[in-house]
Amino acid sequence: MIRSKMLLMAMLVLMLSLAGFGCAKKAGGPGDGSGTSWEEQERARLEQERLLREKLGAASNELAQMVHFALDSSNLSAEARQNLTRKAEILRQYPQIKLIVEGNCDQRGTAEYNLALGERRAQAAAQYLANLGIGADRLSTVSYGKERPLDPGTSEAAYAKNRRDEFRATY
Amino acid sequence: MIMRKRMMVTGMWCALVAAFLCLGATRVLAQSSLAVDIQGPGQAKMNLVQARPFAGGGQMTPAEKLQDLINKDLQFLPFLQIVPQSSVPGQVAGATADQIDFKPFGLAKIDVLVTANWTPGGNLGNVELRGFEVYSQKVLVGKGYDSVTDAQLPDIADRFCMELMQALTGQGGFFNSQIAFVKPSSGKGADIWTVRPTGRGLNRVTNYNELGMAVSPCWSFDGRRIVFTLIGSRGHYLGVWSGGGKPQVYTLPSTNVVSPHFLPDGQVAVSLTMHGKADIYLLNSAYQPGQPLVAGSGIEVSPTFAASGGAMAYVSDGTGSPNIYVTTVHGGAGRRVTTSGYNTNPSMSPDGKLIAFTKQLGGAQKVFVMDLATGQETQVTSGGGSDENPSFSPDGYFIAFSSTRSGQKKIFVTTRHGAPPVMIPTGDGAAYMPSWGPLAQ
Repeated sequence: MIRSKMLLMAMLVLMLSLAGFGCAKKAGGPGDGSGTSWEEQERARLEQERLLREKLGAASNELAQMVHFALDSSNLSAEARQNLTRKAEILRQYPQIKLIVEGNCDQRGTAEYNLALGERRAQAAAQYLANLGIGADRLSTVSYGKERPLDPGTSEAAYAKNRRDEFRATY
Repeated sequence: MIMRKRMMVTGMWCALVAAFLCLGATRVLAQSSLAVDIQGPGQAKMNLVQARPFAGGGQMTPAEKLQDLINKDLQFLPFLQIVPQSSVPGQVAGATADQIDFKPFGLAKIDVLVTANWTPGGNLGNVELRGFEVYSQKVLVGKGYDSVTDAQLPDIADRFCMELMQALTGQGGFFNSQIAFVKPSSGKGADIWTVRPTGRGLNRVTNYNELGMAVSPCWSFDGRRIVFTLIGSRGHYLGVWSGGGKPQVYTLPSTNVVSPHFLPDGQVAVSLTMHGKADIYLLNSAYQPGQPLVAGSGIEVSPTFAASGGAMAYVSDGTGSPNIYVTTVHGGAGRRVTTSGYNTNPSMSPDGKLIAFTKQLGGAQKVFVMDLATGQETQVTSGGGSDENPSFSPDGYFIAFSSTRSGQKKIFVTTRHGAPPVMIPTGDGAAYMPSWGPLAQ
């Protein structure tokens, strides 16, 4: 009787540890731990950002000025560098805010390669800002590849418009 | 629906081969064998007539509907040429062999004759479907269904066509497979959907809507899971859907999570930017990266694997423009197989012998197939628009891809031989990034 009880306990412990292991596997998922789903967390992030940008007003709009790139290039033009220098000034003025750089490509390449390429463009701007003394912890990047064209057309002008970094002030 | 009997399947391979060894030399080569080798050069085409259905007791409407469904299914099979019955003078007095005068069909070089016979019964009635080999007058495929309902007609058509394709080619997987793809959602979002290649079973898998973009879906080799990239406001995440419910979302130590792809053993490979540039990593069972599978001097992205044999292909721009490389499932330095231009989107055939990929020609992409044994590249799509993201069917015969040839992006199916593309119905709106997998068994 005692033995069977011990066996039961051992099985229970084993089951619990297996269950724990199962949870550990999902660790790192933004939906885990906090009990909220990824969607809820994303919604909360976006709302907090929206409030911050409202508070920032004109500075937020100035930070959002895009930079554009030449074909197959992540090099920053003189104009782009000027644009980023101004952003660095604003970021120094508002030490509490962070900046997200979104890299985008034109429609000619293919989606997956462009997702990797868009990251290069985002990193180019982030690196330039870091070189101007903005802490790396205040800069992050997201590549949209060619998934968010400003102009879905197939003209050279449309392509040029789409090869860009966008910027979002965040908390 | 009760499957009454499998009437008589005499489509035995040896019998067929024997039958055609005896064929007269007058028959043209293009139709000299009913056993179509879809893995071969792919020039052969068989002629098929679907006879008018026999129906009494007011069953003409469902009979015509089923005939139309079968006709639409057969249009997907490029080795079949559908010939209207009116163009052949042969007499079909009934649905069974003894009621058919096969001779005129033979003279008109018809290889396969399909008949349907409806009899009164429960619901819409009972139906028998037969596919005859005209030459031998034997039944290749026979199926009977009792008390069929209107909702069952598409399934009946699919099952009959699957068995017919199986009898003719040895493979019927087309009707037993599913395609995952991306559709734009509300706002700037995108979500993953699945559909069978016939357009049936359209199903929405993710519901991120304006919150995120779920892109680059990839089926596991057993058809039970889909991995995808989820682009959120703070970076990319890895999504894993396990056949039902909401997908799990995993955060990886990289803002870039690009082109996740299953290995045959169920592991996932994905391109991550861990050390300043994009390399391909193998994820562990907790979906976290270990050592890189492929690391190079440029961007390494888009891994694809053979179902057997351990071959792997991927894209690298280490030498400038992106090109296709092959290596083994163990990774390491790859061998470059495309020689010039912009070559991306590799999809390895299940046997590891071919790679479907896209090549940039002018401002657009076209689908090519490379034979790895010879290094020969064959263009399989042409015409207007841009063709992207080719994906081999599990049987290695068909290739799905997205195309702007008819305006907005839609999913089309061609073959490794470049058969005329057929659009897959995916509902309203754009559809792109197809990944072809088997139906989960």
